[in-house]
Amino acid sequence: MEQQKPSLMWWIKILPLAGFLIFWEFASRNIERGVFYYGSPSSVFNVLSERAANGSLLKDTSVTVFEVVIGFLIGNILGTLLGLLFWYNRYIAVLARPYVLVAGSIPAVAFAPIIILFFGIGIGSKIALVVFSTFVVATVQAFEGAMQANPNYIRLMQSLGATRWTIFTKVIVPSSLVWLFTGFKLNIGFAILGAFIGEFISSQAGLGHMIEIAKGLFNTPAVLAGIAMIALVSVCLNACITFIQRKLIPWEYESNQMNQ
Amino acid sequence: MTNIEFNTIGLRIGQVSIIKDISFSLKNGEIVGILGPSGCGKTSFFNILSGLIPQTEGSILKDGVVVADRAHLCSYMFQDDLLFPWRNIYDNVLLGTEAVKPDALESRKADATRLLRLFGLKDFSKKYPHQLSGGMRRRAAFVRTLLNDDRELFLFDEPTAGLDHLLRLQVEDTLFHFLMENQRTSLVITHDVETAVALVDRVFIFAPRPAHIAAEVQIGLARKYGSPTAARTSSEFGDTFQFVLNSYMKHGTAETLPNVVD
Repeated sequence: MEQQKPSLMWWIKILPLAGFLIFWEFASRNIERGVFYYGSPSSVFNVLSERAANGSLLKDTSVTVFEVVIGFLIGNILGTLLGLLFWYNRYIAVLARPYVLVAGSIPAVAFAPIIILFFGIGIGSKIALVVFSTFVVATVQAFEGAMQANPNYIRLMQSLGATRWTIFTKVIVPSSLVWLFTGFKLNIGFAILGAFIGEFISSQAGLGHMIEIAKGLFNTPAVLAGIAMIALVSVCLNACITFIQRKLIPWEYESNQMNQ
Repeated sequence: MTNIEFNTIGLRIGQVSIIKDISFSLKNGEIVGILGPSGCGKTSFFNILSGLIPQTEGSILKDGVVVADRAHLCSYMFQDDLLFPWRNIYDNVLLGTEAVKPDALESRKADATRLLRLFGLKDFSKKYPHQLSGGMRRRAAFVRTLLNDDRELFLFDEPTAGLDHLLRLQVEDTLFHFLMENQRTSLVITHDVETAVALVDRVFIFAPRPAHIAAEVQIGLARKYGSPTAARTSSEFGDTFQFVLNSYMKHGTAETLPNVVD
């Protein structure tokens, strides 16, 4: 691989985006009430810079990020522990699996009204919604990852006389990491959705709140500014997870690189 | 001097008899080969010995006493190297110690370094399995197996399969010297007649359906000439090879050919 390639690829990647933004700006300026209906890159930028200056953007973003991160951590940690526990004890798995799968088939946001009833309209209900949204995916991924562990690795451990706990720590946990991280990445989207829905229904701050208010005022640029910030949060969280993934499971990343 | 004895070992799954009536004993320090066609039940036999699957008939005796804890009797080298991708080579070879004998970890570390050097992996101990060639991974699996030196019996399942010819000679010599120096008893599965004749003291030829001992041949060329490579170049090698091959063809291959599809 040459050094030149990545930067060229980078330029090619942003080309469609740049083209789209230019077209959007141009078109919305030349259509009657274009900016009102469709917004425009410059109007979105104006909203962002205005709100960055008065501090409301930072406040809304940090509220949402806080809800997402805390809920994400709780949901994924609990889900992962439960999923791995399913491997460890098949009786629990047999008992709990149908419940988890049914719970997983219900959109977590459908619970939003009840959760808000329980946890109030403050930040607690948003965190709870994020936990609900991410928990099932984490559980399923952890259990599947554990079940996908190479059976010959387990046989090797058994031939050495290892206990189930040793097999769990030395084989099951490391080999399910790849699955866990796939789940974590999926869950970024679910976590943001959970927080957003919570804020959208009732809240005093957050990006969902910002969009909800802007919607009421027919302020399309502000709605789009909120969406842009949500996308930014999502991209940043994804980058964090990828960074941790490379640190924690370098073998997977490196062997993938070699296969390319 | 321990003496390990297999007494009428049999395996039956449902109505199908997989292994039937295998009885032999191993003297301390002996290297015994098992030669048989693919799929004849050699690996199932090893799985029984290592305690991975229970036999349906017979018993394993150590100095006349039935062995209950099989896992701690054998150190088993599987056909695949089974190195864990998340561990470097050094940590991989110490896996067995870490998993079942953590107290010995410190003392085994020196052994690990010595064995890695012996198998030409000294400079690769901090590398991960995907960074190594197939031959290197195989040698790492050797080190991992040999490091469990508290076990009475080494089980090698096709230990040199897939290695290029020169490397195979080299690995066989290294293995042989290690086993001689440390007086270790081993069972070696192979379907390669040449390896069997060059390496082992005696060989059992397994015939399939169900797996049973069809013939036993005394060899001992490596012990006589000092190494498997020396055995290969000895004047006796050709005749012994011919003899074992004939016996193998008579008992192993001919019977399986009509059923080769399954």
